[in-house]
Amino acid sequence: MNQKTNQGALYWIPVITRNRGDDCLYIDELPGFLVPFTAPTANDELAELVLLSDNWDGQGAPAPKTGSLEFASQILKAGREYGLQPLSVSPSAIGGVGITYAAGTREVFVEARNVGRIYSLFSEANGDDPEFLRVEIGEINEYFNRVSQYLHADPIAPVYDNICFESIT
Amino acid sequence: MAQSPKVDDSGKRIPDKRFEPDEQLFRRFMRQAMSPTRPYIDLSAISLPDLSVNRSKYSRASDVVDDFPDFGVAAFLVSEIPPSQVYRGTTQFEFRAVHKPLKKNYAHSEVQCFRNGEHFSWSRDDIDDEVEEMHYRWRYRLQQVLKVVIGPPEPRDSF
Repeated sequence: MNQKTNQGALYWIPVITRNRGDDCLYIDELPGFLVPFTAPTANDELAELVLLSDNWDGQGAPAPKTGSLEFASQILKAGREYGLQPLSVSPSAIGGVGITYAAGTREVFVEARNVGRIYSLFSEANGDDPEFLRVEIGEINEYFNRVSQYLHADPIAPVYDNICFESIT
Repeated sequence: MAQSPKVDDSGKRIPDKRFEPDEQLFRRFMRQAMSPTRPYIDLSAISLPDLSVNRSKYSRASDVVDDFPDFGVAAFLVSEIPPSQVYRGTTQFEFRAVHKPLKKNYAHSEVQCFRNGEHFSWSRDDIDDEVEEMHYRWRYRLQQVLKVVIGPPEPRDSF
């Protein structure tokens, strides 16, 4: 049996869920309906996404491909090295994996696409246009330097000129 | 309350081209696309070209998740569709709801993109950075108006 031997947890999954394109396991020796599968990443957030098949949303969404899962894994790992925990990790309706980081009123969305590209959006809840950028996986540390600075920067303090703070006794 | 499909004189179902501004459009999203700490869903649940939705004139929100137990439903009004997106001051893309009934889902509709009045679509496998910038910015604007109307179920133990 060709086995993926990365450092993931060992899961038992139904064979039928692995029957898709380049993500399928090659089962040469094991009979039966279950095969041991080592998730291709060490990220628990991605474990469920690995199991998705094409059209997982009933609206034609492609399943995340191996490449986008690997990019997502690298993004999550790099984020953790910067002390960033994702707010959410979800399959993308356009094919790939979407990851959101947030702090205060600021968010950074980064999407590893099945087409091998990574795009990111930096946004703030004040209604300004978000900043869009393409991310190169080889420059992931530079990217997270920027993400970290963006999320940890002190937001501009709101001015409440119509509020009078008084002590309550 | 959902209405019966529109039919022609022969009784054949036909698309209802008219959308009222206050009609809701329902979009299902997977559980992972919503964090319990914030009331809105991820950009990853929004896709172009041709965002699939159900229109409230002909369906209920719960119809969208009938066969999708791990999903929730978000909604937005027709009037909330970001109507256009300018890219670097030049190319303007327009967006509007189009009724696209399916055999088993008369309420199915799409939010489609138009450029110079023509339906504009693109391949998800052959992408262009300029189109993608427009795409992400529009998705972000739609994300800001989406409201969760049916929350996704709690996660289950998968194994």
